[in-house]
Amino acid sequence: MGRTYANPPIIEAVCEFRFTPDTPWDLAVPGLIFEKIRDLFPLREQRIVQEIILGANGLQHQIRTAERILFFSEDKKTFVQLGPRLLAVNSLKPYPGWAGFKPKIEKAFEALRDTLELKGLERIGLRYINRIEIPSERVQLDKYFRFYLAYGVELPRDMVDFIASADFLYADGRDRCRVQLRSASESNPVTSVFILDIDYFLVRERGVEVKAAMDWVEEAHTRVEEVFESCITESLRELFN
Amino acid sequence: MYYGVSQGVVQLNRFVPSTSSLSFLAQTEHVVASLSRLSRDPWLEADAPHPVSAAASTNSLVDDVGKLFRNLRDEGVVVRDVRKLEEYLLRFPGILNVLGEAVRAVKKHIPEAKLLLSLYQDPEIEDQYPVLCVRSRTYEGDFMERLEAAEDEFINHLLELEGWFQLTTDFGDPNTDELEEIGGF
Repeated sequence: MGRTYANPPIIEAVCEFRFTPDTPWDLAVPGLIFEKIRDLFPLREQRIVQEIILGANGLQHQIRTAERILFFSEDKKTFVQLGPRLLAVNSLKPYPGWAGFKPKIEKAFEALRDTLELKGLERIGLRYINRIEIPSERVQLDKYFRFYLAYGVELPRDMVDFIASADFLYADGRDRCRVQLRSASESNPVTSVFILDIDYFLVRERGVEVKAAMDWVEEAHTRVEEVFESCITESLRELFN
Repeated sequence: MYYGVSQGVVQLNRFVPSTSSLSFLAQTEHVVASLSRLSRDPWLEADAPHPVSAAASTNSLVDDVGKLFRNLRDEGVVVRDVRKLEEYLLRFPGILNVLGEAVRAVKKHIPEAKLLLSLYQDPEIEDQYPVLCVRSRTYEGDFMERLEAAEDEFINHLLELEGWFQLTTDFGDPNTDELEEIGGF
C-alpha cells in the first residue's frame, strides 16, 4: 500500500457499497449483474449471512438472516458479493495492487449502476486487513508499530492478547477510519502474529453522491495508505521486503 | 493582555502600556507553541456525533472466518490446522455456515461429545476438506445413530454448496486432543 513491498501483508481488501432503502431491489438483480461481470467473475455461489440491523437510536437491534450471492474470479481470489442493497468486492491474498483491484470495483459498481437506479449511498467502506508475522516469540510493540496499546509501567510487561482500536475523523466528520491492531493466534511458537485492520468508511448517509462514489473510493484508498504507513515503523517495513 | 480562541483563529491582544513588547512576544510564542503541541498530540473528540452507521464494519470474509473460529473455541471445539482451514474456508465460504450448523447438531444429539476440527489432506491426490471429529466417553449403544442424526440436519444444505465437509469419529479418547490423520471417505 503506497510503497511497494516484496511480501505485502494484505490478506484481504474489501470495497463495500450499501445503498439507501429507497433504492429498488429485487431477486432478479443478481442474475442481471452476473451477465455483465461473468467474464471476470464466472463462478457463482451463495451464502447465508447474519446481519445485525441497528435501530435508529443505536440501542435496539435485531439479527436478520440474509442471502448473499457471490461471483468468484476463476482463481477464487477475487469475488463480488451481492445482497439486498449491498455490493462488495473482495480481494484475497495475493493482493493484486490498487491498479489491479480498483478496475474490478469499478466494473462491479458500473454493472449495478447500469441495472438499477441507485438512489443514494448509505455507507461506503474500504477495508484492508493485514496479517503481520514477526519471527520472534516476544515482540516489543513499539519497535514495529507506531499505533499500539500503551500502558503504565505498573502493569505487567507480558501480554498474551490485546486489541488497540480507534476511530479517526476525516473530511469534517463525513468519513471515519477505524484502525485496529490486535494479536492473533499462531501455531508456530517462534512467530508472533498481529492483525492490522484499517476500515475507512463513509458515516454520513448520502454524504457522497452516487456519481461521485468512485472518487470517494480513490480518496479513501489514499487515506488508507497514509494510515497504514503511519501505523508501522521502518523495522516492520524491512520485514515486508 | 488576553487572548481569544474561536474556530481556527487565535487572537492575542495587548493593552498598552501594561505589557512590554518583549513580554508580549514571549507570551505569543508560548501560546503558539502550546497550540502547535495540541495539534500534534492526539485528543478525543468527545462531542463528535455518533451516528448509528458508525457502529457497522465493512464486511470481510477473513473476519467472518476468524469469528467462526472464535465461536467454535467458545463452544469447546479444538481447532487444528487453523491456517490451512482458513485458506480452505476462504475458497469455499459456503462451508462456514455448515460448520456452525454441524457443531450445533452434534451438541444437540451427542451433548457429551468432544469435537476436534482439522483439515484432511488426501496424501495421493490434491483433495482436502475440513473434518469434524466427534469423540465420546462411550461408543456403545446408539452412538452411530446419533452421529447420523446430527449429519442429517445439515447434509442437504452441504450438498448444495461448493466444497465439502465431513462429520466423523475416530473412536478416540475424549480426554486427549491428539488426532491421527482421519478422513479419506
